[in-house]
Amino acid sequence: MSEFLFIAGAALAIVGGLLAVVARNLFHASLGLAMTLTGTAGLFIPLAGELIAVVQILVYLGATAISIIFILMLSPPFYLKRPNRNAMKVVGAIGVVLIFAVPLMRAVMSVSASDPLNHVAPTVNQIGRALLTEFVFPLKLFPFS
Amino acid sequence: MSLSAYLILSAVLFLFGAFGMMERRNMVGLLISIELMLNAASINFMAFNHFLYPGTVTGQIMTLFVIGLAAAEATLFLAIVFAVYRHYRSINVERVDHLRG
Repeated sequence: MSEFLFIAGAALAIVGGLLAVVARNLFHASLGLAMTLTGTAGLFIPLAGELIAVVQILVYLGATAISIIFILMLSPPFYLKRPNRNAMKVVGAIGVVLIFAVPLMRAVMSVSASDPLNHVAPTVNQIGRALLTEFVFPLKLFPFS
Repeated sequence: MSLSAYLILSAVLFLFGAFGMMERRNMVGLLISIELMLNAASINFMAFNHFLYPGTVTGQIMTLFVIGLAAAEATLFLAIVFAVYRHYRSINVERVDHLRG
């Protein structure tokens, strides 16, 4: 079950992320972002974060992605001819990303930890208690951001 | 699934976001790339919390803050985009090139 959720969530996230970055039509790009957010919510379930998965769907997908679709009204209309991609810019961006990717991937590969077998998943009660005791200052500061 | 599987996935999403940041010239495209990168960061928080500190909630609360921050940021971005659009009649960042109000 955990493997299935991971593979499905990862596939949704990767395909959605690719769509969000390469699609010429910005509406397709924002739908790709919504796909990535859904896949990520699926990934949170095997990580014992059911509450976070629900919040991700409700807030991230329901509010943030929808407000991005709202901003799309200001982008140029889709029936106009889109300007072509600047090949130099794409090549440059890919080069910079690759330079950044090599040390990042190396650092990521060097981390190893196996799935904790007999752990107790944190409950919603625990999250609420921590939010109102240990993290009450950031929580109260948050509305000012 | 091991920790590195989650970390590789999140690194790939982050790199997609970084590529989009450099390649896109439309403000909405930039916002979408920023959201991808924030999402990758929250996958990292959840994965490290589950694998290295099981039973605690610090990473999950950080993810909650990331989600809230992204929602606040998107609305703020909406306001900025509207102001820029009214002034320049475009949301291409390369046309927004003088400081005069």
